[in-house]
Amino acid sequence: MVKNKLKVAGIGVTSVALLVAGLGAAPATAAKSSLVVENVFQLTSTDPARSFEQTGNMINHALYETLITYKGGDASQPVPAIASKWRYNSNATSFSFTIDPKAKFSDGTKVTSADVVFSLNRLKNVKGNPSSLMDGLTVSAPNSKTVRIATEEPTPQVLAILTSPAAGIMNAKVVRACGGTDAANAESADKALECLKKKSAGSGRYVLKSFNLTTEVVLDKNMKYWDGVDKDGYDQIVIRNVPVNVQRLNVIKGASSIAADLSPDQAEGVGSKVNVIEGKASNVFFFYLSQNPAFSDATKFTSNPKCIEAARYGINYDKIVRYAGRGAIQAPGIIPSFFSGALSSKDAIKQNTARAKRAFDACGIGDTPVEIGYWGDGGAVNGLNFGSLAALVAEDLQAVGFNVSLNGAPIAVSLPLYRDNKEETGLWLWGPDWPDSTNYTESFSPGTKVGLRMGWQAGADNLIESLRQQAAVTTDPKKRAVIFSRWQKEMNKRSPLIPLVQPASILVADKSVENVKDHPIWKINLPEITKK
Amino acid sequence: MKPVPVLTPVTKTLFTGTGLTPFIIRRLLTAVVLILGITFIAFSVTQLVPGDPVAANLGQSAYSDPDIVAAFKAEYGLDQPVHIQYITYVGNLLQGNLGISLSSKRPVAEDLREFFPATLEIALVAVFVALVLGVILGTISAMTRDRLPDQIIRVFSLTGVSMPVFWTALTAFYIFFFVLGWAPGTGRLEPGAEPPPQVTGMYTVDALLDGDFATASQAVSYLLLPALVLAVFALGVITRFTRASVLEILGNDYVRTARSKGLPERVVIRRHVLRPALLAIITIAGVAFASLLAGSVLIENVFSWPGLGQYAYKSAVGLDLPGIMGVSMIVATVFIFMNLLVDVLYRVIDPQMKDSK
Repeated sequence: MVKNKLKVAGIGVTSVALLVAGLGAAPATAAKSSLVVENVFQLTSTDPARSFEQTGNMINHALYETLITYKGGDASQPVPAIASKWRYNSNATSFSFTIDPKAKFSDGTKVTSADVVFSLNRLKNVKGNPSSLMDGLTVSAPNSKTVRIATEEPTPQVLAILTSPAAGIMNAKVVRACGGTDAANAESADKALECLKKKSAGSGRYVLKSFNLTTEVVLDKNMKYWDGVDKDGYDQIVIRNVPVNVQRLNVIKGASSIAADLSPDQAEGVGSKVNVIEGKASNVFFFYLSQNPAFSDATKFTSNPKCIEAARYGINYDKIVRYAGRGAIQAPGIIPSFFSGALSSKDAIKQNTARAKRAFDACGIGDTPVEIGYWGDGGAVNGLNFGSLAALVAEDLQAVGFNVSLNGAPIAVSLPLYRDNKEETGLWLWGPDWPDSTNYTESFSPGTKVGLRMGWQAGADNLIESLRQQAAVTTDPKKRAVIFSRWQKEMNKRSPLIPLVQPASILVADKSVENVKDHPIWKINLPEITKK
Repeated sequence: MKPVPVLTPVTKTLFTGTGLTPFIIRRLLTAVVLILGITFIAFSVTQLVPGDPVAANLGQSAYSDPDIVAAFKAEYGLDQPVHIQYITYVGNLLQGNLGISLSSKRPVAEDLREFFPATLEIALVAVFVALVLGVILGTISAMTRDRLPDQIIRVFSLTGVSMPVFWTALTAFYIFFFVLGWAPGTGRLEPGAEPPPQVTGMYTVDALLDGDFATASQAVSYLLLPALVLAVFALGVITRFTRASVLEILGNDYVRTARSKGLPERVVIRRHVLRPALLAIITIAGVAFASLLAGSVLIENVFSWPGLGQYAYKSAVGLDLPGIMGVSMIVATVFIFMNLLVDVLYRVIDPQMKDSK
């Protein structure tokens, strides 16, 4: 009995001691310099061939180098990474890359052309989310220093595609030891996924220390980095999954180094201890009207050009930009402001209610009910809530005469409806798969990915489709810019697509952190960040 | 030749007797059937949702590539008819295989081993705090009926029950972390800290087992605030239940007799009031504990606590059927186990119940 009482007392004392210690415990100061980046995770793994989400891109950009890359926040001028030089033929069907002889993986092994072929073939054959980047590309290695990429058709966007973190070059020997393969049956035969959550196999400035899908991913500095270890770089980077409102408190308090997801409103009043780095988001929000007249009573009319005109000129774009907050701009076209051929603000559609009402009358839809589909369970990107945005658009359309109702649904429900062309009208966004304007001409023209989602079949508009073809085969940057610009202007005249807004992208960073840049593909340039 | 009895007398007693052991065996057998039933309901309900797991899990380009879509469907068995998917699932389940999660791409059992202990850890602390404080406050409230202490406790318990949990969590985080600096922040350990070797999955326990008191202390510091916030609702409920039970018992003749015999008030309360009140308190504490486990999603989100709630949310948003099924089963198992525990405790506390089946 006495023994039991003593035992209970012992447990009690230990518990109280721990509680007291816990209450007073401030986080211990780590000897290593540590960069803590907070982000709402969009992450599945750190296997480049399978990861295509924003957080995954951010992490893989630090772990795996690509043949070529971009510096800072730029997404237009490729610079050497593993490849020290490259060239391509005039019709952009054959690309040759010379591997930097100094390039080494984090285990000290030299990077060879065989590793590049393995990595890119594996990307293609595992049939993961980013595998479509390799559509139409064939990779070969004429010798140990050279990689050749051939395309079936002229593909000037190859350089942009190869900067994607998904095209990160992996140590073939390490990945094979993990059960990986680049064989044609890699979709079932490749078993490297779990292993690549425990260790990385790249040549980047950082190596993977630990991976947790819902809490944090920890990277350690690659102390054998082949291009010289950056003394000012952080010893460790911790990327944590934290809700947006908590990110704000943490970065102001100094508990984290960078908050990656604050909206312009949330970035107001963050104080003098942090820097606000403002850029333009790569996402463009747009509205569309279904061109599938057989889908519903409403789409018999929404496929009428007059109905599209009524919607295009009925929307109050200024109001939407005001809602999007500081740094947002009206999207004059679907191509974001920093890509080749982006339109200027003078090309943007201006609200013209009288014209919209005339077009509405000519369209003949009358009071036939029309639904707007969108991500409706509180879905928000760059601080913009789809539901609020849809309400603003609906208000303007109602003012013109449309009998509009909102039909938001959770993403798992609304996304398939949009992707399968089962919406009468929809409000969505597009973020680039690769940083080149062909991503837009190849996705929004009639008969392409989003074109079909809008029910816009191939053959629906000869001029727009011809401009798409021209963009795909033209390699001269100036000529390409002209074509992209013209393609967008024609889209603004006749397509069912109505670009709405390009929001700001905000990073809030502690003042001790330097060289932080917002990037359209990997969000934050982690390997380039240094401490003061 | 004598017919062989299907059940020997001993076996028969085990299944049909009125003692505690037959009772537990019967309940455990029922639990297996219940869990299978729950798998069917969870599976059917998930199928009724008009979403598409392929669209929810593949990117915008991948979804437009028929090869990638076919590979994804084949990998997760989504190319099979629904009834075959269910039969396959149950077949695998009986072999201990809960399937592969669509969102984490690893076995659901492994996911649950990681996420469940995190939730269990805060729920255990929360229910302990709620139970101890709730019984004390409820008793004080009843003993001081309609006087100032009672009024204050009633206001607090009502507030605890009525406040939305995400609001409580955000407010607590703002005050104790941002303003006062008493709480260390979000997560289970400080950024980049090495977790203790996994034994139970509860960092405080694992760190102690590892003899790592610094990590144990750090884990406690991160655990306290989310656990206390989680306790707020249960504390309100237990306080109100205790108050009501104690008030009801205080009116009984045997309590008046005990007092008139001159027994000290604390003895009257401990022996004649709290003991009978325990039945109601145990019931509500059992339900509260199971609810805490299942309903911690908002708190886990605010505190970036990698628990079952976050996993359930991620699974639901991604229409990750194996993940949803795994969570449903574990929550169902907890509810069934807690009900069983409450019933067993009833029988221990109230011997009159021993004769009933």
